[in-house]
Amino acid sequence: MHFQGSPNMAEKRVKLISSDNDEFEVDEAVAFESETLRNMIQDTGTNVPISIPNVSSDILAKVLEYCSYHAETMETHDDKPPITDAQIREWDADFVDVHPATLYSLILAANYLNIKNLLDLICQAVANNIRGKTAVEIRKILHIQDDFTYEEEMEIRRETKWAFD
Amino acid sequence: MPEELDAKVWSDLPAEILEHVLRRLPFSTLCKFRTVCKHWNKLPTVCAEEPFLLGIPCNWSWSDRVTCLRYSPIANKWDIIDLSFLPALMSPPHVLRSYTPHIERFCSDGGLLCLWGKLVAREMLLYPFDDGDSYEMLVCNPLTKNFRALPPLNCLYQSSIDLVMQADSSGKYKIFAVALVYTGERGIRLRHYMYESVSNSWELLLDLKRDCSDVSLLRYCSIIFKDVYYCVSGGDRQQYELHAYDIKQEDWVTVGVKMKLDPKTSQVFFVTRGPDLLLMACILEGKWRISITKVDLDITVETIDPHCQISLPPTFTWKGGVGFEYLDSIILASKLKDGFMGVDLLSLSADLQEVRSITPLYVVPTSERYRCMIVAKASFDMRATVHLAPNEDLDLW
Repeated sequence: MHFQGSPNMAEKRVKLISSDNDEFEVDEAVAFESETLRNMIQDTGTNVPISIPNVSSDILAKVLEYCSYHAETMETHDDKPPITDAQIREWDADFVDVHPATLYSLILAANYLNIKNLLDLICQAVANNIRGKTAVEIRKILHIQDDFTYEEEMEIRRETKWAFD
Repeated sequence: MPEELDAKVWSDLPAEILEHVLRRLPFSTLCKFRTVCKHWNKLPTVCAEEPFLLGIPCNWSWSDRVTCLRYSPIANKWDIIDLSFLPALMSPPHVLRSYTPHIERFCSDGGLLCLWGKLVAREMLLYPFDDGDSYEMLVCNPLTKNFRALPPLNCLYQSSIDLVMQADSSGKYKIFAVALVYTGERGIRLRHYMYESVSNSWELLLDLKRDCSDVSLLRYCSIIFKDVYYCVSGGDRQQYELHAYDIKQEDWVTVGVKMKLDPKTSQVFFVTRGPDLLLMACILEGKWRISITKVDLDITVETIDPHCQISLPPTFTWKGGVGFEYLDSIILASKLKDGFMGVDLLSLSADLQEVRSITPLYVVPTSERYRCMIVAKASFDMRATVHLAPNEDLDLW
């Protein structure tokens, strides 16, 4: 007999294989944080390892750390007090406090794996970082060509003068 | 982030993710970034496709710059948009130094804002309702500061007007105003007017008599949904009625369909939800609840019944606000308690089952001169223009 939501269901494990062929095993609930993995698991079940060819081991480990923590925050334990929103925010802030190159890989992984909350979190972190930059700095970082004529740029500067106050 | 972003890495960021990031920037930063390149110049317009909540503080303190506050649901943040050009539009130059604008109502569509208000003398700031100044209405694009003064629409009750507007893709727009009007011996009338940008004139669409003991008990709200202008009005001894005007056919499709709403309703407002139009009625009975009625023009029954009720969290006080659809939920925004400027936000799931508080709420530091805030859904678009007629006088004064 098979019941949905029975203890057996909760203990189901999923095998994931990173781009450098390392195997990761996590609870189904952790993998379900990713919409992409959820769809794959629902299609193929948990018996076959799922290969994630465009995410490296160190990044997949980070992503799974995020998913485990957030899957855990959804659970309720009788013996432990529930995790507060403030605690989650603090944990999230620590999580994105990493080298920008790692952040870059994380943003791509979160996008591919379709983990909405993680993508939101990182996008916000990147937005906070570029917020204080000038247009010239932005062009340099993102390798964007300045395609305005002098007159066009002056016209926009005039229109947006209030934003610079 | 401990280190700076590195060009070697970030220049390859896929465009769709970059857009995710940029949508989280404050509006003023996005505008500042318009000079990056031609594509980024259009970004504030891209953002304009999202619904925003705009709040305009009712009485600005004299020393403060005139601004409004924009809430972006995707970033869950408030940011500030400059409106300092307003006093210059609304006042003759010689009184500019002693008057400040007091906006009572506004509506928005296609990147344009229609504002209804008046200039209030500095010494009257705390009691703006007591002076008999005439009201002005203007349409502007707050980003380009392009504006047009509309012909006057004289309504004797301030705060008694409701406004909605519809801008089409060719840049023409219509504004619908519903207002209580005193007409001397003919008593109190509820009038629907329509403004058309092409003719730059108001037209009276419907004129209804209202019997009531207290006009402050009369409620009404309006919306434009699928090219139909809807208005619900009622309260005091008046039963709630639905009126609907087909904008394309230029005719009323429904006049006076009765609606069963609680007599204790303190505010009504419309919200769209996918293909549906919902009427929300806020009721205080110990605590706040909202009854929700699906509004349908095809129904043949004369009476529309509320089909659903939701209870607001006990800490929530409904002080007049709005709701709008955002992705898979409805965002409800209410003013904070009286004498305090700020907005409290709730998220209501699309199935109308789950209500959650949204943080952060924006509270301007309490000061005597900040009294309240009016909120409405708004859109922004750099390209929107108010289209002056060739002979229209730009110089108001």
